[in-house]
Amino acid sequence: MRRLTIITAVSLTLVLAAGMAVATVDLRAQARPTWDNDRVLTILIIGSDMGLPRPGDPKRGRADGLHLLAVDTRRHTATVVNIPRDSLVGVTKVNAHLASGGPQRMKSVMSSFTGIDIDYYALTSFRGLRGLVNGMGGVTVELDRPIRDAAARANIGGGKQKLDGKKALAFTRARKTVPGGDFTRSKHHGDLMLAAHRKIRAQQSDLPSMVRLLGVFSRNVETDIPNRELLRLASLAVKIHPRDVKQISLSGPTGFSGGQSIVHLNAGSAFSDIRQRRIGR
Amino acid sequence: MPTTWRSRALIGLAVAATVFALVFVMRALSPAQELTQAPYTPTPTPTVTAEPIPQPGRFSVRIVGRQSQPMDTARIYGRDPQARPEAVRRASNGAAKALERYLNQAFVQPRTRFSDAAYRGLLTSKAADSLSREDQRALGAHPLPLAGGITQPVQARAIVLQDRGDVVAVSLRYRARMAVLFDDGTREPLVQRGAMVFVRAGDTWRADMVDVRLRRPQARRDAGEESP
Repeated sequence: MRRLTIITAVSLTLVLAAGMAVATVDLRAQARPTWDNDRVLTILIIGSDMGLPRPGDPKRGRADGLHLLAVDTRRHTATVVNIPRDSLVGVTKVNAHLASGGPQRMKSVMSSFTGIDIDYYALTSFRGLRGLVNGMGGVTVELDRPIRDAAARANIGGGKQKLDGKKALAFTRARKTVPGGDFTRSKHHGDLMLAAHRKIRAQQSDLPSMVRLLGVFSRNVETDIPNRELLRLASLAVKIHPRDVKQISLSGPTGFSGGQSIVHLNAGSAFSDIRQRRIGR
Repeated sequence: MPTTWRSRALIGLAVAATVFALVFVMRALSPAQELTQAPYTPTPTPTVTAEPIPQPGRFSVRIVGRQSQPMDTARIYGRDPQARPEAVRRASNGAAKALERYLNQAFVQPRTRFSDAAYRGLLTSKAADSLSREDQRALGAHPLPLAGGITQPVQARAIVLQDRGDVVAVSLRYRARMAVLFDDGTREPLVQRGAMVFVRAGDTWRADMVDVRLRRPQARRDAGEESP
């Protein structure tokens, strides 16, 4: 009898709870328009060696970091191509084109070299990179070995590491003590960008955070992307899953030209894939 | 002494007798006209003294926090970005007005509430075109046969993205609450909370991105409404 009473009471409670649950309904609205048209968006990402601690205009420095980002706006996939700074482009090393003509010239030189019509550039400096990473609250990268490089002021342990702006700058500068030298440094730049994308994606689920991060980005990056397009780009970044981003680090045989070390770039199918819209994994 | 079926029957009889007696006494004490069956004369319907159901008042949105996010690249050159507090204030107030207008159209104004009109007046065309049916419902476009309601003031926090003097976007995070009153006297909460990113569209501000959640009473089938 007592058991029956308990069962009846529990059933009544459940029925009442179910009644309350269906009395209200929870709905969610999300709208984040990106691009109207179905296209491949290309951005040349430039890391200038000017700015803190080297004085000078970052737009007239040397492009020690150079990457081509291609995004498929329909499929939400992306490819980052890391280009070594010593790559011979024309009659000189690619990084010198920034000093001679600024980011617009760099964009047109790379458009001719790759056969890809590059839409925009985004340039940062030592100071900008530090501000960017600090503004994001740090980024986490996975290192297969520690980096100790006095010239880059890098002292970073192996494994999963959370980098603040200062450590991130050291990570992207270290080349003398890392196996692979500048090729590895170029890959580290790409690793940092992917880590930043993961972080942004995690934070941008919240619209006010996305707006705040756009401010951080804009203050630390010189770009010709119009402001309204930046909003669209931020929306697009959230929609791209990190597993759909492909990173390609270019290399090639090294040599000397005019007393400078150069790389005869072997781009493989990296640029032709982008031209043929084979983006991402 | 254990209760037997006979004593139970006696108790039941006693209870029934008491109830009958009470009913009889109450009828005897009630006003005479009810007992004397007076000839029918039409009399005015006695007025029901129940309190009238309040109609929802307008939502008012107040900015309780403003943050400026300058976009100029001064910092990479070692300078501080320029602050434009007046532009920040004006833009955030403009976006708050747009939000207020939407909330009132979506949930308060009898002609527009729970229809498509409110979100169409709120969003940019690109944002409106990207909505699914559930998105539209979460923005209020779903019938609700309310009899009245009580709204509460809305507090919003703004982040303003500005490039020197030009404001590029304003994000507002807010929570709007209304107690929905039904004919049968029941009261249910309606809460919309979340964030929107507003951009300038001519003389006004429109939401280009939204991420909001709506908790509302279920539409009632017996009132002829479709169920979500």
